[in-house]
Amino acid sequence: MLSIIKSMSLQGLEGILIDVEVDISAGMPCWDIVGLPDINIKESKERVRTAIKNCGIEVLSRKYIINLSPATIRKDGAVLDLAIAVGVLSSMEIINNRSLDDTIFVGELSLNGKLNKVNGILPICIEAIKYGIKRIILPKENAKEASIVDKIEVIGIDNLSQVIDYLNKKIILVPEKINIDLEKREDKFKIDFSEVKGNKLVKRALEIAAAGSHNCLLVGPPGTGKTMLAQRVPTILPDLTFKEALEITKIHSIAGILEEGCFVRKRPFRSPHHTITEKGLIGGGKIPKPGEISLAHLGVLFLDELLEFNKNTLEVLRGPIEDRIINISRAGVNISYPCNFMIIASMNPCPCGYYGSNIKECICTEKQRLAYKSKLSGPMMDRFDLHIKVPVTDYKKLKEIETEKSITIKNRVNFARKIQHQRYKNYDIYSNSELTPELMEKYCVLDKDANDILNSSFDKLKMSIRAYSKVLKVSRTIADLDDKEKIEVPHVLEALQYRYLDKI
Amino acid sequence: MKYKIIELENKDFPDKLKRIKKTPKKLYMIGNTDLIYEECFAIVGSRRITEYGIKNCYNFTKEFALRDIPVVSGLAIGTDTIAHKTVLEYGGRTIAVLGSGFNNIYPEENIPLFEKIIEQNGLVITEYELNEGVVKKNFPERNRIITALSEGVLVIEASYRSGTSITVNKAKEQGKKVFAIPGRLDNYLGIGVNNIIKKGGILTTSINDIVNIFPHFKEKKRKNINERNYKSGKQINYNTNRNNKDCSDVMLKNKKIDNIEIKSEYRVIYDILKNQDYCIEEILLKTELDIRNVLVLLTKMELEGLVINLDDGKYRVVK
Repeated sequence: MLSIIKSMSLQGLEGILIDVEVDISAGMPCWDIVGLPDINIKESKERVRTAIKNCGIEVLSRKYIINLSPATIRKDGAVLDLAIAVGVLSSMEIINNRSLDDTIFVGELSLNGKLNKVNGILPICIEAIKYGIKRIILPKENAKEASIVDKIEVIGIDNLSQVIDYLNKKIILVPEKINIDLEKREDKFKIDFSEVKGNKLVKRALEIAAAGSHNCLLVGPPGTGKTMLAQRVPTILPDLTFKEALEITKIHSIAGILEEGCFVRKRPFRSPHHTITEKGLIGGGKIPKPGEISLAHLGVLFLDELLEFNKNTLEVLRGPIEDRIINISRAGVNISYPCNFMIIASMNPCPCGYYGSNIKECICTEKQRLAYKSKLSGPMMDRFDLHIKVPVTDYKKLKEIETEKSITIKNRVNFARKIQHQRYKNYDIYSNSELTPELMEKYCVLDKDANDILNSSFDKLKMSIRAYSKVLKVSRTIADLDDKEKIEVPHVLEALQYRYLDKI
Repeated sequence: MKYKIIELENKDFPDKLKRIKKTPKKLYMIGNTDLIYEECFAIVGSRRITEYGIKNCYNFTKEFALRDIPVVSGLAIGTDTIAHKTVLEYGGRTIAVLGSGFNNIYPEENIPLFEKIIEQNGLVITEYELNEGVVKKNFPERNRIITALSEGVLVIEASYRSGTSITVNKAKEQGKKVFAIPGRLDNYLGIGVNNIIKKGGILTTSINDIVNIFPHFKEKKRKNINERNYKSGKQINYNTNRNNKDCSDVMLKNKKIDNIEIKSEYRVIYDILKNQDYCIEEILLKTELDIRNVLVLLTKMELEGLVINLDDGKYRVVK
């Protein structure tokens, strides 16, 4: 007989409801899966057959036809194993529950009938609700993650026999519930800003960057602590709101980097090595998976030794930085992932690294240095709101100095970010760096003196007009850190200090 | 371009070149060939040069130019370029000695300078035939011609064991006097030049230290000019590691106005920066001021033209 079981497959963050239709009839014994399955779904027939057999159920030699509808969309992943197995068992009339229209089945089967966890459960649950699904049956290991979504009944299952018993109402399983307490954070970092002595300028700049999610470029000779400072940025990033946390968890769920079914509570900090490819950065694959920029969504993408990255790899970042979304087109699929990240990048001033240092001689020629700098294209440079020269500091002098703890800085950052959330709640943005020209006119209001200074400074400091909006956005963040409604003179004056590359 | 060849056998061949080891067989020249018979002076130094070096090079070269003493240098980037350009700026005459043939002028970015030198009654000279390429070993070799043409050599800045020290050795071999401006102790480019002084170079702090030694230089009268007409550094593009802004400030600094009124809020930072350039981090270490205050004050001072931001991130007082 024919049975239809529902499951879900993901294309990017978008869920596609799939009807798994199973028909068993007399004829040449065979198992056929049709409906544009990918290779790993074709293989699932072997897993399903063996799993059913190992549950002590005899699989009769019949003609098994399994159709995955809609048949025009390519399906990927082992998530459909459970749905196929349930479909087959329903057709064999071993499962007698006929009211499964609002239930989806997701999970991968082992040969012994055990259910293995799959990736992308959170977005599947969120998408399922849109289709009016009321219940999801999935591997136990995924239950915690799924239960973040509260409008759907989450049933975690260990193995196939349990599914049969549950659906035949021989056992009762309690739906998984989780209480997400965002306040209870695991903010335990092993590193702290207080470990980096001195470098007050860079720290202040990073504080502003964190507060307004501004892209930030650190320029300096080796050994000045650029990497050390950047690695400590996660310790001062603002707390996540529930909405933000959910967005990040969705992406991390698809990528399968979610830790033990946990909800993401920390902003991501991704630091890909400079040998990364374009596809690694923006996402790729036959059915594209999120790349580093999407994994860094609402967090930090740290590009250490920026100019060592392949030039083309860097240039692909240009679009996504502005759009905050990446559209990946591959044969047959179009996928978009969000990528609203902040970049922290570090670079040396020249190939040998010592230009401008009094400690060691720079051995680069003028030409070499210009060539090195030109690796960072103008448009790319424009995307950095803050650039700071990291100086060579005398370590001995710094030993005695009291340094601020991360938590103190973080409190200020949190404060400034809350103001921004409040201000932009009616728009689809979270921070000052995302301001559009239109919104800038509305919210970056300068008092008269500040306006005069900003205008005159561009002639005097020989800055490009492109820098104007950057300075304005950064001033806005500094004013927020100061809890000021209007941008005042000191804010603009300070913001002008963070334009190192414009000045040289 | 028209060039002239003088061969060793020729009676026009300058005596001062005959007297050195490895006398060049031929000289290829473009420009005012009379210059090789005049009493000239060489200015040499590192291709990398600090602001301190630029300032000194500018000041000393200017004095030679105003006394109409031809300045010999090597058309390389850095010190050489500054020397040539400063001479041209002050209407003087200069000789550039190349380490390659006329068809392969090196560095390419100095070709306009090469043309300017000839245009302004100067001379470009090389021992290499027209198509001789840019060969590394030729450059130290040509230094012997630079020193041979000159009465003495002034070293602006040099790192330890650099091309400049080769020039100095050649000069000593040829019995020429070596002058050197004391270098900064905190910079590697100061090390070499101070070593030169230790080994018998004449410590030079003003132009008089040089001209008083040579009677024929002393006789020459210094042209009086209105310095105001020369204050814009934009007219000189030094083509060195530094940008125009730094060079213009060098000249601004020459016109240092005494008794300038400094607003009381700037006083602390101004006093720190007065004698030495510091980056923000160092300023913070030296004051009790809060970082935000320092940043705000520095921008204000920069906007008012009191200080400038150098490309290594340091601040310098220019008024």
